[in-house]
Amino acid sequence: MQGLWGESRVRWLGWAMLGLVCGLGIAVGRSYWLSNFNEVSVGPWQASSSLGSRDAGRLARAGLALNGILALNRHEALYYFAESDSGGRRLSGRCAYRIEGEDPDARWWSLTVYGPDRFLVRNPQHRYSADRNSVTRRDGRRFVVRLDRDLDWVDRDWIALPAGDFFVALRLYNPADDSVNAPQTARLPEIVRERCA
Amino acid sequence: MKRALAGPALAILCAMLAYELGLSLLPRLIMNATMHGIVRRAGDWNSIYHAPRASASDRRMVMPSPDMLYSACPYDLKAGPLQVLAQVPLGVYWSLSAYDDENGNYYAVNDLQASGRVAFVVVPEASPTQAFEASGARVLHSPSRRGVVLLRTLSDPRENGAETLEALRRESNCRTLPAKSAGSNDAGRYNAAPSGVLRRA
Repeated sequence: MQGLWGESRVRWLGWAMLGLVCGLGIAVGRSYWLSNFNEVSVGPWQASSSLGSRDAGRLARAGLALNGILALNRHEALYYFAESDSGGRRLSGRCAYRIEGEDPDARWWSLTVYGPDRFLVRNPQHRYSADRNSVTRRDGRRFVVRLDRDLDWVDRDWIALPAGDFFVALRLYNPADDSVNAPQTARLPEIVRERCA
Repeated sequence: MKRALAGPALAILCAMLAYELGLSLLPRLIMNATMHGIVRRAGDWNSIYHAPRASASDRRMVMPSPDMLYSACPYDLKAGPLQVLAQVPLGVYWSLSAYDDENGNYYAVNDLQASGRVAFVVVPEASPTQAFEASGARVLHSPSRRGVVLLRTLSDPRENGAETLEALRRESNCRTLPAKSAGSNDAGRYNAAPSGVLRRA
């Protein structure tokens, strides 16, 4: 009798543990991948209007903690992310790209490339980003930033790519009121694929 | 039949419970880990940590901005209010933002809204603030006992003046205010300093 009860208790504990692990796994997975980072889209750029907000829902808050710890609220900064080019193709380090457009309507902006592990991409020249102050402009308005693994390092408007997949973050600091109120209307640059190996 | 379904039913019940609990606790757990990580580098709570510029070899925090210099004060208001004395640079983006223990950004101010040397005092919600305000400090009401105050300074290492900005941000600091200072000018004394003394090279 004692043995049967022990065996049964182990089985109940097993079911309970299985449930707990699955529940936690689903919570972390949903937060990480399905939180609302795509609630706003502008071309290839996607954003969450609740990043940094204290009013976000529970799933969004968990996702923001996993994906955007210590982010500013949207009145101070807007964060856009692109995992694909303007043609809808996934960004890959096997290809070269140019990010082209006019300055977004913000006091300052920057473009940064991250590897799939969400960290900066190792490169000997330490070229991780380009920003409003660093880019050169054609006809005084349009800028072109090149994303490439092999470009000559003396080109100022260049960001190094990893070998595999990557994504680009576009940060707008002190964005214009129109963008704060309607992030989907912001004027953002295109991401054009040029060639692939 | 009923016996056979009891186990899976228990698993589903536990899964639902763990899911709800996980969603509720995740922000706090992650923020706690982040705060403790900063405390380890700062040496203690209510001390400032001037992080080195982010690089590819830096694997502590995901998606760091390589264009910003970050200084962080992880705070615990158990011992008293937190005072942050900040040096605001001229002509470059700078901001001070405060986060509760669930990663909520409850306060932000930038260099267009503050200049020179500015004192901030972080107090628990519903605490009296008149004495701090009278001393000239800006008062932040923290929704939680613990949190982080983060200072960002835009600095391009390729531009002139990067070293000046680096030196300037290291003049910012934070500390626990003794309770008696609530009635003195100590909390906001840095506001008495003239603004406009901080210039890029």
